[in-house]
Amino acid sequence: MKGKAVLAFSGGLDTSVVIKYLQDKHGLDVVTVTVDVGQEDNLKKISAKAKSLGVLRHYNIDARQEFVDRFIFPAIRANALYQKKYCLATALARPLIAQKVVEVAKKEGASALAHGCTGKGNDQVRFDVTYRSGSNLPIIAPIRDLNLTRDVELKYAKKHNIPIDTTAKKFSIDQNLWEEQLREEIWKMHSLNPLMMHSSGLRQRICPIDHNIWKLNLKVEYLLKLIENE
Amino acid sequence: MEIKFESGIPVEADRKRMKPIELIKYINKKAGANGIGIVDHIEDRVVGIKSREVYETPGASCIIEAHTDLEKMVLTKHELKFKAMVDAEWSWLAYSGLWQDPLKSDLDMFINATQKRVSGTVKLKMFKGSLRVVGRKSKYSLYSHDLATYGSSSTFDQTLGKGFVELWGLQSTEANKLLKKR
Repeated sequence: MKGKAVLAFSGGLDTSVVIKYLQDKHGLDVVTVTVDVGQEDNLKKISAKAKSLGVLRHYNIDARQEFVDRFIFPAIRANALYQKKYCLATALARPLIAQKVVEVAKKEGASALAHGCTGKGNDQVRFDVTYRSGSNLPIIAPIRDLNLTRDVELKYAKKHNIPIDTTAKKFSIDQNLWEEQLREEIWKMHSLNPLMMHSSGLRQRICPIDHNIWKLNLKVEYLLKLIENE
Repeated sequence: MEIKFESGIPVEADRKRMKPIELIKYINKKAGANGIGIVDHIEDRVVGIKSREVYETPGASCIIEAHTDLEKMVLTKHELKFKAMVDAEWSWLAYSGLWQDPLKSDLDMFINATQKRVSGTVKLKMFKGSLRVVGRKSKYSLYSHDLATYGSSSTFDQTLGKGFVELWGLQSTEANKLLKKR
């Protein structure tokens, strides 16, 4: 192998594809880092998955306390809401994750830093800027570099026997102590009540009563229409 | 639910002192069970794309709502007006991946200086997805019932109002007089 790349690894579709890609196309050994920022994922499973994909070493780093002290608390003091709505949770976690990757890269004597961000989102900015602020190593971002889409990634994963969680086929999820973010391809601009979206198989924190009220609303609307038509 | 802050940081929920991680988890769970903090909005990404984002942020929604409310009671109106701008800029920097920019730490210094008096308790009411602040208490409160009341216990001399308003609106009145002459 021609050296080591350190990759921020969530265990999801993007970063799993990136492991294989770094190994096959760049001929690099891969060291993976999963940073616990309160996402409540099974870290043992993630670690096992990284190893099954042939990584040289995997690090689980519990950074929850640091996440709270250095990121969430300042955000509370700043009443941090982007465009008056979004509490910034992913935006807060990325610099911390990237800092941990840089620390591991120094320890490992790595020759490259990697991430699984697309070229369309905000996370590439957060990773790149933090990587650059702490290191001069080259940055490899295969999803962005190859202009990959989710369906192509799914095919690639299948071809290379990368196990993929069934929800990953439908959703992209990001979770930490400060938020849960969901993205689903089928959402349209005017479609769906969020309560309905949340009932579609993800972590549900919403009181069941809300679902009942929602269903009741539908029934009332239906009955009113019937009366109107009489 | 009650949230207690010390220097702008939440330290207690429902009168139980907890470590920060447990505290946030507790509020997440309780507020989440009440359907609080579902955010569905159109967001401008750094690269220019508008995207529809859906978040579930029960703890963050409660804590930020309570913190903002507490600030309104303990900070002066001048501090609040300026801090709102600083907060928006801080949020923009953090969102846009400029966490390491010196401007962010500069703003942090201002924000931290304002937080010394942001201590107290905020009471929140949650019901099936709605969130309301229904009470607040602080030893740094600038609210004075004696000043605000319209009853006879008022200590505010309202006759002072006449001259104040005269001067407060002076330029606006003059400008309008001039416009009417034209």
